[in-house]
Amino acid sequence: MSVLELENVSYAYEGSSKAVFSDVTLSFEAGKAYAIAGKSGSGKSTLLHLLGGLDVATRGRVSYGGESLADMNRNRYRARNAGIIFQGLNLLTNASALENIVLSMRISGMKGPGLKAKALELLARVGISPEKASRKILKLSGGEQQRIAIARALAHNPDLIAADEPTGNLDKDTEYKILKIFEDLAHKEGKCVIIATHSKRVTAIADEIWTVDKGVFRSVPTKRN
Amino acid sequence: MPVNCAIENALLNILKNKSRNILLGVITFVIITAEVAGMSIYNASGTIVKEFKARFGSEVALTPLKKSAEGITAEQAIAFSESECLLSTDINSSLTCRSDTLKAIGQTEGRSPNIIQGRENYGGDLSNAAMRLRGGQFDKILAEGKLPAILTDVKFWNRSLLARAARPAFRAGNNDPIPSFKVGQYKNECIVSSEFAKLNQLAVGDHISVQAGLFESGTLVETSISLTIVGIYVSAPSAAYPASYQNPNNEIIADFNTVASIQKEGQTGVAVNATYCLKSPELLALFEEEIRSKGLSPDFSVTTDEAGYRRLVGPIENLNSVSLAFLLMLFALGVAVMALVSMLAIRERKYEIGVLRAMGMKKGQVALGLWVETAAVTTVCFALGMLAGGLLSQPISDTLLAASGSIPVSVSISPLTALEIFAVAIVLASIAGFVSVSQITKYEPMKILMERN
Ligand SMILES: Nc1ncnc2c1ncn2[C@@H]1O[C@H](COP(=O)(O)OP(=O)(O)OP(=O)(O)O)[C@@H](O)[C@H]1O
Ligand SMILES: [Mg+2]
Repeated sequence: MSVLELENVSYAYEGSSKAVFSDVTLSFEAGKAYAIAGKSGSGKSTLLHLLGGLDVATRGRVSYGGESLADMNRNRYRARNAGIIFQGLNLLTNASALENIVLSMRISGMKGPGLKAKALELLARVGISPEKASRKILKLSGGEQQRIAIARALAHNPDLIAADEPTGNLDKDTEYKILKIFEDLAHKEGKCVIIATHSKRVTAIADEIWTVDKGVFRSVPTKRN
Repeated sequence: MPVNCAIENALLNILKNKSRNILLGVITFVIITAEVAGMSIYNASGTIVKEFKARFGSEVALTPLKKSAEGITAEQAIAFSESECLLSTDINSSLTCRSDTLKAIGQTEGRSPNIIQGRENYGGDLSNAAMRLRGGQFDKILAEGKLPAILTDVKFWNRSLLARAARPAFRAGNNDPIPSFKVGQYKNECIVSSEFAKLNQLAVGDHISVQAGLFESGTLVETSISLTIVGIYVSAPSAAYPASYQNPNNEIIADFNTVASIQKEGQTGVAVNATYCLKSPELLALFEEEIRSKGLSPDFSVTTDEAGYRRLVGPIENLNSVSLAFLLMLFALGVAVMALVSMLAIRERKYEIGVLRAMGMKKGQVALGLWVETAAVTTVCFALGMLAGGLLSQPISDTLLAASGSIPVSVSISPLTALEIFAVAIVLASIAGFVSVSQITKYEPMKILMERN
């Protein structure tokens, strides 16, 4: 069953005459992992921003559960339904990992005394120790920051995970661990996972692969199929 | 639900963004300090000007033009006091008296009263055995519970230091409250000074008898009056007076009518003093017209002390307008600086705002969080600025008043003024903050994050 759909979607940045992509129609299902591949500047991040409700399409319709994102309360959508891992991470750099994650939980409406423990558990899952969890973001390595961004995207248990180059800064072993998490999220927890990537290792776990070139999306056969 | 998390996040941020908040705080502090100093000076001088206007600007003097002129009568004094033009009236009546049973303070021992049949010398020729029976606004004296308030100066005791300093003669006086009274009808009741009471072994409840000196076509007619002592006020020790009836401690204070009514038709001897305060100085002509029609003799001039008023009020009025100009300038500057700082502080936080929006925080919550942070910093700096401004305002005011040749004034700031300043500071910072937050949050989160530089 498709959770997320794009129908004839076009997007052009404000002030730019050329559209990044036009008339794109795609659909994403729950319980599946998707990889979006393409050259730098092809529009991968732009697509994820539209899916994550962080920006609205210039034309066409992006819908979640049948409802158009343009018409819905996107605060709520971002806070509860979608989890985004930004290419630029976008963590609150003045705060600690723990604070970033707890804040995300609280914005989504989660309550209670257990949030901190839950956040620490999640951080442990991506390999961040409690000591590092209470350190300021700026005092952590790029790879550590990336994993914290992943943990934050998962903090509020969203149905949709949109990850933009989530393993770019990671070594091979860590990348495997993280990819395993994404795989489990799709296959064991029934989430819809969409990953923009250049990495072959990422495309290897995907159920479906899409490439984008000059604004055109094409389905590519996977090794699994 | 997210209300508290936005606020909590803001409070955590106060300490995290130390340098920015310190800068914001210092600016707020400086503006508030200057504003408080300016405002307290403005308020103090404004209060004084108002008070002086009420006191001097409109105090009417009825001055006899000829030496032989008869004083105004009690009936006239009361009739004049009923004018619509007046804010207040102080009336007192007095006459010289003596007693066969009471001694006056300063009375020469061994000499018996030697009364001469000449009205001018009645008091002086009693060989200092004379007292003065004074009829004031007894109710007022009792109500205010203060002495030597006795007469026209009753109000001065409750006025500012300035008024007290302006009348040095009263400074050394006694300001103690009158001991408890059995307040009766006032008719034939009196209060006496503690010094007088001690000399004559008087106590509350005692009856005293005095001879009032009145005249009928130039002939002395002594009238005996009985009074009940209803109170004894604690007086300061007497200074030396040329005549004992001039000593305020020798005054037996009774109700206005008790004294005024001693004088019968065709008699003289009761002096009536009346001080009228107009509601505003412009009413002088109207008041004069009214009291002339009520029978004030053309032998009296009706004037206010315009020159004296100018002399006293002028410098303070200058200070008042200078401080107002200062205040307005500061206010404009404060508005500009606070707005600018608030705007810059928020622009600088575009990234943070973008991230919070991307995490799904509502616009209002983002604004609230930033507001709480700014408001908390502003509040702390407001308190500090108030303190510093309060400490500064006295020396500033002293310097300014000294420069303008005026007497020192006690400068302070009322809680209401403090609140006004606080409201101004918070409102300014808030408006600027909300405007810049909404400028930023009107865009989609991704746009905010991309354009953060
Ligand atoms: N804010 C912007 N304003 C105008 N053009 C933009 C803006 N952001 C991106 N672009 C352009 O839009 C196109 C798509 O950018 P996008 O970031 O989606 O690419 P990408 O596929 O994610 O690239 P990469 O692999 O390098 O991350 C690029 O040509 C880029 O120059
Ligand atoms: Mg990208």
